[in-house]
Amino acid sequence: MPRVEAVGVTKRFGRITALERCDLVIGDGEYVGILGPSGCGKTTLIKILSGLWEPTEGRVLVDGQDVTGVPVEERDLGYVFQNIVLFPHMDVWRNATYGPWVHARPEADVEAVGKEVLELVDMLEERGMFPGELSGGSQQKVALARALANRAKLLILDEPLSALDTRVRLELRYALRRIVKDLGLTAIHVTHDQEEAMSVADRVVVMRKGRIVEAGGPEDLYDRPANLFTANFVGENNFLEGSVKRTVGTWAFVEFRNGFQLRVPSPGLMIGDAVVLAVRPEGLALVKDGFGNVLPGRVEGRRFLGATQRILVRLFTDDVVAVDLPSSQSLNTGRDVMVSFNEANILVYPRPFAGLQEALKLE
Amino acid sequence: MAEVVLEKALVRFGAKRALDAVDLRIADGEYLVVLGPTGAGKTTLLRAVAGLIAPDEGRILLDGGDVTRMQPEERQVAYMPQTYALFHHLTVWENAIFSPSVKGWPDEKRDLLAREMLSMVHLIERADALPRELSGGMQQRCSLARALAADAEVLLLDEPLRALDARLRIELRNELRSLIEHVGTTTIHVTHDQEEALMLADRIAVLRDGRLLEVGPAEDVYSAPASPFVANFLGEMNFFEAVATPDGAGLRLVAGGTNLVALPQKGLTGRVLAGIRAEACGIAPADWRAGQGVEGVVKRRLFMGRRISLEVETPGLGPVKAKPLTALGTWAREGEEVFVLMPAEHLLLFPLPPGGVAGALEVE
Repeated sequence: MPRVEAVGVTKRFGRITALERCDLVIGDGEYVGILGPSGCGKTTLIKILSGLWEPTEGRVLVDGQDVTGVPVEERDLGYVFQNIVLFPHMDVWRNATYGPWVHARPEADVEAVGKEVLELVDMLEERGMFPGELSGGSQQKVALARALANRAKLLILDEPLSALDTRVRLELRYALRRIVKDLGLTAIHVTHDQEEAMSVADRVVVMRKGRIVEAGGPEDLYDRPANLFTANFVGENNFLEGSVKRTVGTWAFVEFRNGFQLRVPSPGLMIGDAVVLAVRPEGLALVKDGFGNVLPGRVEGRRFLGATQRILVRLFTDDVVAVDLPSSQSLNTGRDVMVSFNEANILVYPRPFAGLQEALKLE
Repeated sequence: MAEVVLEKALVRFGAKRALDAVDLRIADGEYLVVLGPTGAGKTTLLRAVAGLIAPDEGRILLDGGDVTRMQPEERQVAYMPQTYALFHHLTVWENAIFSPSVKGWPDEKRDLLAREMLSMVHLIERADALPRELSGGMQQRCSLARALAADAEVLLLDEPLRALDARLRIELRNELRSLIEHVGTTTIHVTHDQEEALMLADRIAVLRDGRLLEVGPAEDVYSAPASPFVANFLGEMNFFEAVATPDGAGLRLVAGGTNLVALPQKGLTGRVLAGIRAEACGIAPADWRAGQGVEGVVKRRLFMGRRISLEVETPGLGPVKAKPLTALGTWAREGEEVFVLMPAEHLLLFPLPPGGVAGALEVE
């Protein structure tokens, strides 16, 4: 049962630093999602963890043993790629049992492994079909079966669902998580899709510009991101910049443009501190009267999202916030409203030195 | 600005009708999103409007003028194909100013527009790069900027956000919508992403096998779809067979031993196909007795951020999918007994499809 560690892993390509001193411990049996925008270094990290590439500095440990420099083919792991790589001239069965077959395992073993892994991905009935006859989702299931067939306890998933249609992607998320957990594997799953990372993984590692920004359980990461970049990248958020006007006990009063104020939970804020508030669109509500923790504004636009609608409100602080409401509620553009900020839904961050935009930028 | 009209537009590829007598009117300044599975004719529709394919039958009108036989460059349209079609020997900047330059715009005005569009797609810092130095997502953004900078009267976008990272896709989709709302360009946008469609569209058109199945405001197509296929294409549905009998002002539905009340729809009674969206299904504790629904056990649970995705095994209706908002459904764990709420106003009814449900929903 593998526990995988990256210790101070750095990777440079010429003058470009793709990874900068990454430290990460992936527990035995843990399903870890590595999430970040294009070019953040997530693919580089997974290639180094799996032995496809060597780090410029730092070490990779598996179960405490230094495996830095051990090539991928000598490691005990299964690898699933974004671009489905099946042998087109071999049927599903041959593709899935390719590993045990080239290793000349006894016929009975090959038979048993093939049955087991194809059953796991629910493709046993299609054993006689060829890749060209299968949908993208089914092909990727076969690729997964093949990765499982060498019985490795470490599974590397490199954007395994990105090439598939939305529907199929959703379905395969379930399958991946179920199989990893049923077999007690350690899994490392790289993706740029925050929803995918949150729904498959026990823990999500957020990366940006070659560094690990933060790591945490999906619900913690969504509800209480430690970092502004994560708050923006994982789900959508409204951000308001202001400064602390006064503090009362565990509360701070933050002032925005035009003198408007909100009461927010204060993690040791001082008068004059520049702060950024983050509130998710589903964490805001519209109310009729001006009492409580509210900011006035005017409805500027409306987008239909299905079960919910998104109302864009230009606050009198001149910020625009998105408020998600049930679609049944009707609201006209141009109407004056009060936006209610429930203190429990407000996260407070110190204003980043280089400015808010820089802290949120995706690349 | 321009109105686009397709009159009985028909395009044949051999024996196949890629576009089958499509009648469609896109109003001046309207944002139309075309949805449909692979091979439905979405791209063909765009190419016909762009003038890259001449319809075998029917006509295409721009602002009332017949352009059916007109060359692409004679039409006031900008087309962004799925393949981006960037000029590979030109930089990002040169690609963006290409159309305005050809039109002989003054440099100042041209530069201003190109800069604005490249900023919107977050590429201004890569203005000097050649396309091959960019990632696929960046090339796509460059292509989008070029189409926007063409300042055409009609904008044709074929999966313009497909190659982008999930997060950037959301950001650009918001900005694209604001921008086009501001400029007022008539836009036809092809996608297979239903969330993108709902978010962007004034109206949604659904194509299947070259035929226009339905067209209407996003809200109407979502909340009162004409067929199970359209319903399912706009969001995950639960379907079950039921028997509907009039009961006062409503309808009583009996399905798998479960009694539900639905609103009357299109005079349907007797054996019907009933459906409800996963995101319209609420979730309550098992002993909940307010509202209507079905009891079951949570088999699968996925956290998705805003929403929780649950699959509930019910004795009456089999597996039922529910996607409540996280704040309302996060307590439901795998193995837990729950009550799935199915509000009457969200139950959709359809005639039983003659070939069975699976055939009616098939996308390929």
